[in-house]
Amino acid sequence: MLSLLKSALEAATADYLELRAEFGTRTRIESINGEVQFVHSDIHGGTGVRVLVRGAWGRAAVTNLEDLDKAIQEAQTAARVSGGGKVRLAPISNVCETVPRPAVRRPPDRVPLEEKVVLVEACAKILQMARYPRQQTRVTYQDMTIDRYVVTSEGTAIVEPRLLAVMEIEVFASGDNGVCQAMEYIGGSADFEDLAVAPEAAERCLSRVGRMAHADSISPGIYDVVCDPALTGLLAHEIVGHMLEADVTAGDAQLMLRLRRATPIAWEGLCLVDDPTAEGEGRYVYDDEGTRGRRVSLIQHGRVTGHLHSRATAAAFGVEPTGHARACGYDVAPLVRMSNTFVLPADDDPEDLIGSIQKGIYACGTRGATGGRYFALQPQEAYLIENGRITKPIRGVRLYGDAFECLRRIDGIGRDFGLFSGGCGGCYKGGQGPLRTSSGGPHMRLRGMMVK
Amino acid sequence: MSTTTWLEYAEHILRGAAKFGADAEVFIRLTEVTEVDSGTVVAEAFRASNTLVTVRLLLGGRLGWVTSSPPIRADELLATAKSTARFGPTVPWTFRFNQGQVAWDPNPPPAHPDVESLHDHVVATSKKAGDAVTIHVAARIRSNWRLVANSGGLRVAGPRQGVKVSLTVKPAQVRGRPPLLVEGEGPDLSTATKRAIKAATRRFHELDAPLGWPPDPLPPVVLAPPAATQVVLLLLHRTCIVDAGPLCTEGCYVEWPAGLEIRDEPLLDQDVRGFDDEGVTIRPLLLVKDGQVQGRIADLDRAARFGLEPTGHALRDDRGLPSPTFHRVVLRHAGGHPNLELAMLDRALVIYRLSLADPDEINRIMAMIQEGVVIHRGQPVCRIRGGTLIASMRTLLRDALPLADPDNDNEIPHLLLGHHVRVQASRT
Repeated sequence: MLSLLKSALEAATADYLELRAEFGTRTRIESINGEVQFVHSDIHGGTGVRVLVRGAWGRAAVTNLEDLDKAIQEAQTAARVSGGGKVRLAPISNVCETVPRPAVRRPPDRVPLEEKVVLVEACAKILQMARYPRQQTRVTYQDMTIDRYVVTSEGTAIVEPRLLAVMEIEVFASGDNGVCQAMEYIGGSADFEDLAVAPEAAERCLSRVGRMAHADSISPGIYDVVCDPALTGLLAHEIVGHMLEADVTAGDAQLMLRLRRATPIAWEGLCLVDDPTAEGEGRYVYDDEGTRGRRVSLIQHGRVTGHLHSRATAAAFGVEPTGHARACGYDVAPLVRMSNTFVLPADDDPEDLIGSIQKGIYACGTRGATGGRYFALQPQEAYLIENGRITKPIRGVRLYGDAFECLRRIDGIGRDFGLFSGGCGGCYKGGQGPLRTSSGGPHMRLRGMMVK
Repeated sequence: MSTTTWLEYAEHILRGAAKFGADAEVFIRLTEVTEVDSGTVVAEAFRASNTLVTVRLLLGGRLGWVTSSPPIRADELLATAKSTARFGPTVPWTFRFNQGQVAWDPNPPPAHPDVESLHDHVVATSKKAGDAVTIHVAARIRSNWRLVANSGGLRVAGPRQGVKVSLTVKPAQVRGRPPLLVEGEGPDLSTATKRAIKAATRRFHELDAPLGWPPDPLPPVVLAPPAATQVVLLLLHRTCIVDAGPLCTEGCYVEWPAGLEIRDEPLLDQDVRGFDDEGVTIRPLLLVKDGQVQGRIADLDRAARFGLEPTGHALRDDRGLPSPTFHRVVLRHAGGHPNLELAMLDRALVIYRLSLADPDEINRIMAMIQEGVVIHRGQPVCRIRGGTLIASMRTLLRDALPLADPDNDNEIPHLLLGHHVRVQASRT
């Protein structure tokens, strides 16, 4: 395959030509209300072509390799037509490397289909123990084993395997105050063995929905909030991470001003990084432009210390690429994307963070979010804090507000840590998703958050 | 491969399945995409061709399912489908011949304009607005040729095409104002472009308005397209799809206004011999009338499980299973539109675009306002970005009135909402 792609490059007349190919298999199994709905096997492949001519991009994509030469011609034509753009690429070291498969106990493509179905059925059976009016349960298993190729006219030739096994376990139930939901994500690594804890997760899901089914709502208003590590991660990804993706920052003149290097934007205890080398679902060695992914400090002691970059944004900012140009398929252009994004632990005892609040909310887990300058975050579950103690579960909690205001409301960060996978979903920036990412951090306290 | 060769490939798979006693369905989709984006940041053009083959197999009453892109050998495809059928669900149906009109059109869709021509069109469109505004244009042409063949004797094939033109409109002189985002869709480039330009032109005057926050007290709220479409589709999805999903069927009763009639009109822009992705003939369907749900849509599987006939609404999203999807929803007031226009409202919050990124909200809609404007006697006072629309799913449209608008050719018009909504600002 690699030689075929390299030989296709010989026809290139462009300033820069990049081929990204992927070939492999994916499996998806879903059970609803204890019954398997489908067992799906997907044979997946195709090649994307990206060409830079006089500062403008042209792209093409084909599933059939025999059409590759035509696609290269089409991409070159497209780039010429786009004509006279401002795109420049920051230089990178051109690497020829075949990244070895991760050394794991059992990669998903070595596990018989029957075993995957049995695992799904075992979790589904546990969930069926719930007895709520109009309940619905869902268990989804998903894996992929894909080889990705990046070959460029500059001499880069990389093959990197992407392996993943992940499960999502979900219960909807009608409780005293309407419908509630509990969800668990399991796995996110290349090892099927990591899913062995799925039945325990199903048990957790069940007990959580039990708590939420009888929980009361709280009045909308201003509350002090302690986020658990998963919700801290969601906040880091949605509120801060996206703003510090260089293409997002550069696309908004106000953000460019507010997110200049060394500008204080958050409480001085906040340190945030993105690290594709960390052991999380967003782990990779090379990004989709062939740049080696590296850890980037985004915020250090409340001040902006860096942005995530592709080669193009790095050239525009006059810095080195960070290896964060990622595409969720061969047929879409890489965008600046996060990988494993997390808040670094600090000194506070998580119990002290809670103990310091007279009346507030302990928000745990992640259920959904709307990111951007004006955000809304939904925890999976929440509890009332009264006089420094967690008292009772509450439901329907959402944190919302202005991102910059929120960052200033942080005033305590725990010494614990957790990194969480995005499950069967992932990041959908620019409509491109799901992209595999993870996020996390320690417990974190925010004062005076808007809650509804 | 020619379209005839694809039929032979499908027949080969069906014969292979029959050899081990299985019924099968083969779905083949050849897709072409051409895009040119004059770019708010980066100009770009894109061409893609994609071939997808899907086989669903019924073996011993169990369903197997495999997708392949690029296509692989028929025997490999069958072997994989067979292995999934071993663990697949037992289904109460089999593949059958569509009793409707037989559609067989081996011709591919009309050839796309080449990238150069599309680029010229994009550039010409961006210049139409004059010097006061800058318009970035993105045009996307997507066409496919689909073939559905099954063991019940069904053989249908034919082309389909859709065009979307998106405009990003900014004032040429003033910096720091967010752009207007408008879209036009149609069966061809000319129609889609006209619709997009028309939608943009109607809103040029908003560009001068400063950014603001939803006012307190809240004036009447109007959902304008595409927000009106987003909301109507969300509520239809919960009420007019057979077995729509978690707790939707009985848990999400929606009070539809008495005067509204909602229909699915799939043939408005399409070939009259159209068929869905299971080969079932597409036909118009009355969904809601006089406040009551009149029709619900179902694919083969849902129809069989609920003792209904499939309605011709099964579409496959990329590599997914066919699932019920509305084609073109048209909303009208049963007795003609009321004589009430947007300009006649003393004051209103008009919402153009909502972020409905929260798919699991069952009882409430809580949607971020992505684009809106506060108007006073038809004139823009301030533009809104941010704030959350909060309402009960059940009562959101209960008292909604469509506004008369002679210039509006949207299938779903502006909807003036009743007093069942709140709008919460996103800052203290």
